[in-house]
Amino acid sequence: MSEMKVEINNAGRGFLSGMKKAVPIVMGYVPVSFAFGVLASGVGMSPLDALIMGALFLAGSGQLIAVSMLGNGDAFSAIVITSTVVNLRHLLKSAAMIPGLSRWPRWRKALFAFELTDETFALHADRFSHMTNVPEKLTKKYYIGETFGINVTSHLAWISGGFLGAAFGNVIGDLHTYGLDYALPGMFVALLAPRLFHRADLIVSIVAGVSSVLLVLLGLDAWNLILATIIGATVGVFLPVPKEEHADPEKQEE
Amino acid sequence: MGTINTGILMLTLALSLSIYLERSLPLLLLSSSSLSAGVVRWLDFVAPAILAAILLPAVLLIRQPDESYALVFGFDNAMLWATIPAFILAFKGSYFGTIAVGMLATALIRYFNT
Repeated sequence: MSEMKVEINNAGRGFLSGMKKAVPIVMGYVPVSFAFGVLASGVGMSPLDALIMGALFLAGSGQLIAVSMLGNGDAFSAIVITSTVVNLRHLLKSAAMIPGLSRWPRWRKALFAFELTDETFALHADRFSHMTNVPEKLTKKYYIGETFGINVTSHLAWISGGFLGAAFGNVIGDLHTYGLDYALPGMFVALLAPRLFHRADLIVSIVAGVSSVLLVLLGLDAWNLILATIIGATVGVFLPVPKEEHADPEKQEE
Repeated sequence: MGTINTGILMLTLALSLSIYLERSLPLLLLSSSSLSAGVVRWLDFVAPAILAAILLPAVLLIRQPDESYALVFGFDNAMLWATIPAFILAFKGSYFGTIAVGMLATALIRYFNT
């Protein structure tokens, strides 16, 4: 019990644990952001430009879209509008983190939000689903460390990939040959599979997944993620609630 | 290597501001107590919904030379077939195994395809 207490007060240990959990994100981010860097240098961005964009914007599809629109000579305003639409789904992910992070001070939530990506969100949502009384647990130094360990490690991997791609893209071949581009889909499979044992989650996943594919085929590839997520989650609330589900975290005591 | 293009910097700042507002506003402006039970339940479905909404197009659709997307079920869609062993490992609860097998299968299918 005392050993557990040491763990729980050790932010550094938590951070290390977060770094380990982020390994698949790193494997997936480096090649994707490397590809971004290569494309960025193709439209005249310097490695430093690519590094700054990776550090501040930190958006996979957003950065690739920005670079390809720059290549087409589109107006900056058009690029910003397109990116804002493609990234509307962040509103939903941010909202979905509210219950778990409810005991955090606002400044810490503000830091956390800066590094909220599809991949870090997927990991956090999975972590929270395996914890009891998430808001209380997340006040412990270990879990705060773990949360930021995941985010910071992923962020650094993303930044370095973009910089390296812009600097050395011309000397390295096609990274896709090695199947590295399956790292992120693989992580989504691993995080989604356990939830498919619950009937409601299974139905929500099928509805959202199929809607997303259909929306892309209809040419709505800027809107598919937010619309499919809204459709899926909305179908979910109309499904019958299983009895064991959803204990209110506010009601649990320390 | 170390040059900064001012135009790109302005664009980056605008993009970053827009996405940061999307990432932070709900978390900073809404509190848990202000959400009804129904909304909390809806938010709980966001994770599986968004995972599936990202995953299915990624493994089912391939971008065509004319920039449109098409459903591809053949072995030239290596990621689709790699998803089968990946899901088997995932249902057995192996997190890193799922990713490793998926990457290996993707690489192997592409290797035998070329």
